[in-house]
Amino acid sequence: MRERLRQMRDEAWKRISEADDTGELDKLRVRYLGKKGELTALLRSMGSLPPEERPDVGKLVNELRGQLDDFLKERLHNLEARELEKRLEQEAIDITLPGRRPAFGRKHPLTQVLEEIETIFVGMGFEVVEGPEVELDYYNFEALNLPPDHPTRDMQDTFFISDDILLRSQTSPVQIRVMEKQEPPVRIIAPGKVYRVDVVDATHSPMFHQVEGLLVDEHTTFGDLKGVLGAFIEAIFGEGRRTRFRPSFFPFTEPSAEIDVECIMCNGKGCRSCSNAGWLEILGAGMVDPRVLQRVGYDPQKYQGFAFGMGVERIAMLKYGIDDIRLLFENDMRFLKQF
Amino acid sequence: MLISYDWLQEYVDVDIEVPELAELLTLSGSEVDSIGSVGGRLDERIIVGQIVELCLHPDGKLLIAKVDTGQKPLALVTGAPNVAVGQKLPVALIGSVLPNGQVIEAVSFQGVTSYGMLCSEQELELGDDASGIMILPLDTPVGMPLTDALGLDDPIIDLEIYPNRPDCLSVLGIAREVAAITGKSLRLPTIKVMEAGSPIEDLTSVTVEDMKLCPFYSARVIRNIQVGPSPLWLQKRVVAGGMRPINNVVDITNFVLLEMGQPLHAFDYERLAEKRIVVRRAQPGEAITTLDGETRVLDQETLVIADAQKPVCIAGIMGGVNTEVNSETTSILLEAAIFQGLSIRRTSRRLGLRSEASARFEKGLDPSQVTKALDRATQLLVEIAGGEVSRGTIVVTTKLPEQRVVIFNPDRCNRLLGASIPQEEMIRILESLQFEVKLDKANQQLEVKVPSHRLDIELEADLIEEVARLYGYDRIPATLPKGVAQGGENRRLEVAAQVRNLLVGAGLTEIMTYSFDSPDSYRKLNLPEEHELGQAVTIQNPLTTDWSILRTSLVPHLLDVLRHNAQRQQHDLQLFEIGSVFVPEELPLTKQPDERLTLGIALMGDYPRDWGFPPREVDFFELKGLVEAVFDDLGLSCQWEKTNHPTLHPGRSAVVKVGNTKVGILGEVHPEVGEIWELPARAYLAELSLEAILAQISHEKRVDKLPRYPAVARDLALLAPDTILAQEVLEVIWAAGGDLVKEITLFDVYQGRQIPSGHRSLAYSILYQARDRTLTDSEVEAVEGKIITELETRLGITRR
Ligand SMILES: [Zn+2]
Repeated sequence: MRERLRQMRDEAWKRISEADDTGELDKLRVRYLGKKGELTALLRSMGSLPPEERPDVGKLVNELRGQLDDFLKERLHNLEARELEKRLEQEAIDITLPGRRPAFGRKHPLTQVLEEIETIFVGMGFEVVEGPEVELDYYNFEALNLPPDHPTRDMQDTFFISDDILLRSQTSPVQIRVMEKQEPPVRIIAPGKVYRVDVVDATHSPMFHQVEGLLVDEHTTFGDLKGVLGAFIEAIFGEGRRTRFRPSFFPFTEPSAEIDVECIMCNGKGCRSCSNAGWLEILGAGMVDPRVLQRVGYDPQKYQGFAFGMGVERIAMLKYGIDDIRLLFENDMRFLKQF
Repeated sequence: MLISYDWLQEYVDVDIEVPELAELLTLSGSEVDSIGSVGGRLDERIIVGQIVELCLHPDGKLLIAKVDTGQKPLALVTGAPNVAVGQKLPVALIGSVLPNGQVIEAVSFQGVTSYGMLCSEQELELGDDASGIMILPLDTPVGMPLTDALGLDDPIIDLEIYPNRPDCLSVLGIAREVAAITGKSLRLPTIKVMEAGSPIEDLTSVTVEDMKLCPFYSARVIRNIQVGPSPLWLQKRVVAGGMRPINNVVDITNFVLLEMGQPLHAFDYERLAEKRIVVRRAQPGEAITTLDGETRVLDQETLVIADAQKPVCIAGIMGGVNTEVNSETTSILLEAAIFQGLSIRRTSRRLGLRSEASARFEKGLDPSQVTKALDRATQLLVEIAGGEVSRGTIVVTTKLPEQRVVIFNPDRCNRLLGASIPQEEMIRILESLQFEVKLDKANQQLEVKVPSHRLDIELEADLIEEVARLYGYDRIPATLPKGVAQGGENRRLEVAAQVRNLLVGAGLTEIMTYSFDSPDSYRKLNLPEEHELGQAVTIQNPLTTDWSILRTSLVPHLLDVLRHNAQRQQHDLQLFEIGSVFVPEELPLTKQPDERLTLGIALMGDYPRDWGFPPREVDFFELKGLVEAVFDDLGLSCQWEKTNHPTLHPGRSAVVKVGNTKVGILGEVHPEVGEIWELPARAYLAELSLEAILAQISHEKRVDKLPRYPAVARDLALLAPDTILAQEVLEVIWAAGGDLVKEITLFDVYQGRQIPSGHRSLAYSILYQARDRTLTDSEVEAVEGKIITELETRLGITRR
């Protein structure tokens, strides 16, 4: 009997060790430990033993049952681990296949620059307003100190619809419309399309975008103009870029200034983009001319402030290194998808 | 304005280098465009020579010139027709290099060796003239390198003069600025005229018929002059100013124009009928042949200078050939005048004629300078052309305007600038610019007398600018505005941005096109002649007829962009534009048109391919879904109605409404239109009026409570006659289902095998839910039963 037990034990051990999948292991469990298994049968056949041996043999059988059970569990655990490993190995993918992206398009580069400009000025307390693109001569010119036939009108060749209706050549008329409706303080920017009779080439477009700014109250100074525009330039072109304010002429500001920023392409050394000057003209600005204030019914003795204007295309072209303005309106997807 | 550095030195001692001077000018408001020269430095071995002997080459065509070059004479062979003994001309010696890189060598012309080359203007890149050898002034020093003789490398500063500063359109004007900037003193030329002979009144008379158009006219008569080439120094100045030397008389008037900014005109005195001048408007139909050879018919708006019979000059713009100064001229009548800027501007525009003179008249001239300029030119004529000046000057003028006085408050100046410039500094600056300043201590202000050349100074603000620009903008501290302000976006732009973000997130790319359009575009949309989209605002002066109207729809440019890209191998396009269209209330326009912010969407081809999915073509429902998403995002629900639009497929187009307002249209492009626009595939267009949508948006948003009891989802497959619209089915289900139906989702539409013809299968998933209890199966079945019955009785639809 003991001999049989020993034999069974060696044989079961061997089989369990050699089983190499969990199914086989399951069969072995049934074969040895199941209700109709060999060990149970052995236990049943114990009746033929002398009664004094029975307790010892019973103990041995139960020990063996415990050992087999532990061994089976251990083997099962190992085999399961191995099978999982195998499955994971089989499930491996080529992670260099491209990812499936959600479709997303692009905003037009001019929109992106306009949004950036608006965000900067809204942050400085400016309100965004709009004005009509088809304007009256009065707002586009006369109210801005440009009477009919004034030589200064030559600076802006204008599309006319009728004698007194035109396509605005600047966003400045919005200044007048706002001041006519609103008492100071006024702190606005006005983005939008403007139009000039310019034949299309790499640097000219008959339609382009400007952003106008106006701040009028009782105390705003030319120094404030320098501060606000300096902060803007830093925000849009990055910190540490030199800027330069120099005298200029606009009919509706006095004093007037043009603001240059150190060339972005050559960092001021001089290159083709800046005609070797090292400076790029970015903004026109000045203190609102008292005649303009008077015309909208503001007391020029009491109120003062500044106005400025900038070309959005120019800023976009500098920011992104675009060398031909036509690209902005051709809408070639190979261009637009780059933004 | 071209300013020669060398010339400038005559009036002010500039002891700084040109780049530094340029910087100072730019930072004080005279913007330097560029720094150049007349010709740059030529090879040192291109020198001045003089022909001492000329003989014919044995071939009978070429000439052999013996040329003095300061050393031993050289024999030079030339084919040029314009050479003569005694002339001075540029000689390129052997070994010298021309600007184009050509190296000069001794060349044999049929046995005769040429030891160098006589050069034309073009060969030296000093001008366009290639017709002959460049002839130099007779007083040019022989043997000197041409560069030095002609001052070819004299720095020339090109300045942009703003329209408010016509006083800077002269070398003296710039010298005045330079003196003020650098603190040097200004040296004016000494003008002295020696008169002789008979008084001018005996020789001529001047009648000004229109004093408004000609507020100032002055004239002198100079007799016994000798017309000929100008001396070297004068030619150099004229060339440095960007003009061509003509003869001494014309060169002198041009010199004074450049030096003082006052245009002058010289008439051949002997050729003036009755030897007198009448300044008048032209008679209708009157004509004049101007110096450029053109015959011009004049009208009554044109001011002319006439003699007793005929116009001899278009005032302020261009003289006539009939009294042009030429080599035979012996006496001239010299004119210096002021003409009304507006009239000159109109005439020069009408005739398409602009000149150095007209540009100055347009912008305004200093009345105190007119006779000074006349005398300056007279003085030079005597010196150079040897004339004899008749006694006196004829001056016809209205009363000259008084010198302006502007009150200037130094405190206010600092308050406006945000600076603290001392009063003495302000006075110093103003005086350096030739303003006369009187201190009014009682009122703590300055009385500032404006010099006559500063036509632009009218108000205190103008003086503040003078102070600021000379003080230096860079010295004014940068500060930030005081006071708190609430910034903010504009609602219209905000909604546009919201729509833009949604569409970009959905894979569409934004485009931006011109507001201009062609009338033809609307015909190419299949629209009938009288269609409202064809009623567009017309531009009077368009760049081209293709851009002669303002768009009334975004569609033509959307189609343009589809085509443009398709022609560049990009057929799969999903794009949109947000921009204004221009709708006139009536034509011709009496008031501004309506500018309506509009959204246009265009889809064509396939969605981007991806390796995990089958390729997917865009279709009507993709577009409709995008539009629905836009409305959903704006918190609006929309309704759809079938429509008919000539641009769109009649079976695949719809209008979209919010409430009762039509806000847009969409559909597949009509195949005929697609063909006209050369589209390679079916395309889909939507156009929505953001303006109309804006009016419908409400800003209120309220949440529903979350349900507390579970929902039951059941599928319902239906067999429907295909004349029944999906919208009708939906309406019946909602109505029959009552409150318990929460959601209806159509998840399949099928036609084909197993479906009887004339029918389609529609499969819905319906979600049932009650607010107050868990629904039982029998409750759900009862509702479902009711839905099926209603569908059957009202629409003839059966369950599959
Ligand atoms: Zn640069």
